[in-house]
Amino acid sequence: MAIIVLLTLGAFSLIIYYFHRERLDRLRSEYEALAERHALTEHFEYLTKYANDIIIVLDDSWNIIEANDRAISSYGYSLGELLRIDYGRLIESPSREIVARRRQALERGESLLIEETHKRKDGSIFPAEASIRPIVSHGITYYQYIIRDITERKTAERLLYDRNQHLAMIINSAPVGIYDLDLDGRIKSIWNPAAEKLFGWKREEVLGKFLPTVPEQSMSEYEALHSITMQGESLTDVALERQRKGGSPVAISLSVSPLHDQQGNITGMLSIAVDMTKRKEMEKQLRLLNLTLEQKVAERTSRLRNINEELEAFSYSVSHDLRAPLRSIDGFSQAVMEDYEDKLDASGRDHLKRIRAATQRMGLLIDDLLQLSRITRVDMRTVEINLSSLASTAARETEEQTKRRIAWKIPEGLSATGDPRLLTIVLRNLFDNAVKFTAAKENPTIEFGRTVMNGTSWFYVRDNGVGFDPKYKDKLFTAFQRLHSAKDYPGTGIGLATVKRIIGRHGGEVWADGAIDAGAAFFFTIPGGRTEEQECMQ
Amino acid sequence: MKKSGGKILLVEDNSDDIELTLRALKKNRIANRIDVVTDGEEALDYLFSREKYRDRNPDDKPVVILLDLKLPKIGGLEVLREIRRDERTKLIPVVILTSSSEEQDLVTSYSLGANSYIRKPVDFDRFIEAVNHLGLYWLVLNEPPPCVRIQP
Repeated sequence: MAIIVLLTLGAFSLIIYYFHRERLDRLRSEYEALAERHALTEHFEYLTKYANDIIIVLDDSWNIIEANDRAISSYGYSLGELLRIDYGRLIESPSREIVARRRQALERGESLLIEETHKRKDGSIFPAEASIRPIVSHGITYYQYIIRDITERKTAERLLYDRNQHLAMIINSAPVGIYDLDLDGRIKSIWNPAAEKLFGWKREEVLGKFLPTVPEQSMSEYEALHSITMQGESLTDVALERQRKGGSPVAISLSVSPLHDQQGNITGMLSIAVDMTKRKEMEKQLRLLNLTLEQKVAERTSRLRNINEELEAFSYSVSHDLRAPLRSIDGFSQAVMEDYEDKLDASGRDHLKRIRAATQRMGLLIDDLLQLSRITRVDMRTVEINLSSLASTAARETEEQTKRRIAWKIPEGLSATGDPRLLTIVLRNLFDNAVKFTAAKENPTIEFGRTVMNGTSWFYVRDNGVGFDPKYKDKLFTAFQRLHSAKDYPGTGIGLATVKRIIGRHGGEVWADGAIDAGAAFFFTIPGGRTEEQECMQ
Repeated sequence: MKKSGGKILLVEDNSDDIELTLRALKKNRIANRIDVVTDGEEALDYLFSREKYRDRNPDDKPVVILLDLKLPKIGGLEVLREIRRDERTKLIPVVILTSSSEEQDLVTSYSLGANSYIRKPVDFDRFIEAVNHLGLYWLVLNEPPPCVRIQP
């Protein structure tokens, strides 16, 4: 009995013991699970706190059971909303079928790294890189969904892509050959269409190969160029001779720059080759053209010199030979008048007088024409001239020759830069003219002076003579044009033409002003020098 | 006009001009003997007693030479150069009497040692006047140079 009691007690104790142990075990495992979940939660919270990415946890039925703050701020849903909605609403693309297929893969235990487009509550979208992996905890499968907003990366990628596109476009459409070489001198990746055209090799033919354009004899020069560039130097516009596919030579102008990686290490070089064939050809033509031009100029100069010499000879001949018969006519007419006076009646004497007058007039014409031609031929000797004293001398000579009393007005201090002999001829001609056309006046006055019109300094000779009809003033400076009859006002009509030509040789202009019976004024400029007043104004 | 005994050498190829010059001299009562030669070569032959003048006494020099510039065979300027180069003739006054008013002729004449340069005017009255001045100066006022003896 006692044994039975003992056995019973023992069995009971054992049962209780086992019962307790099982309970304890269960309690322990429950505790452990709890602790594990706590750790997970803490871990999740930690991730939530520091993660820059959206983190969503889905249960094995694909319901959202956790979402971090970043998810809330990114999608615009509250946590409560997120826990209620189908996570598929967060995804714009890819299509639901693909999502379903991915889900199957995940359910098979695979991890995924994918690019998707996600959609916010307000309908706006953003590119995302998602990493999804199943996590099994206590036999339950969860899905950890980490989503990174890659808008910035995408923008940067697009920018980079655009820039690359532009660069490629520039390289491909550039009219100059562009290619790159690696450290060994092999063509890396660039060999643009212009390079194909320039050298004849297609891009596919040369990629990865040594530069085929360097002729044998230029190898050492190429190596020197290469080593200089590889030391970091750039070279610009080096004139070189290279070869085309087939071996024909081509003249190029080459610029090379070293290429660097991000760390600044030289990784190769970029070459730009300009075809110089056309330019060389043009230079050649230009040289030829210059040569022919020089030849032409020489020919023309020599022809001009010949013409000038002929003109000199002609003038010399006119001076001598044309005047000689005139002297004979005049001289012998005079001799007849003197020696045969008694045999000539009044009419005969008158005829001889007319012969002499005409002869002498012809002599004057020849003289004036010679002077006109001479002033075109003589060399100018330009000096600083005291025009006032030049004018005074010319006035005195004019007065002596014409034997008339004139009231001269010539101010002191007028100066110009020009040829004194030629300008004396100008003044003499203008003074002679003025004297001639004041012949009928009782108190002839001739004024020489300077005036400023429209900012230009004009010298002038003004008289109080008979003047002229202003409508003919353009004809005044033409040789042999006369506005008055030769009988009233003798002269050859060459004086003012001479004035115009001399002033023209000084680079100046002439201009006349006058009215009938109101005097005349002749203006001229001598731009070769500055007047004293202008100098004072400086 | 007071007479100066020497003779005048006129070098002129144009017969009209010879006639008119002689007439102008006569009009001015210049009664000196006037020898006329009609080209440059003849002028030099005359002065240096060569060729057809070989019998002429070379010491019998003209008091003045009236020299035209445009002459056949040897031009006036060349004749002047020869005259001035030779010891026997270099002191004889030479008056250029020409139609030319070309400056180059004037400059060359003076630089070769011409004593005067007269441009023959078309107007005969003025020519007479010019010859008058010429005669007055070279035949009356001017003291002729002493005869230069040539060392044989």
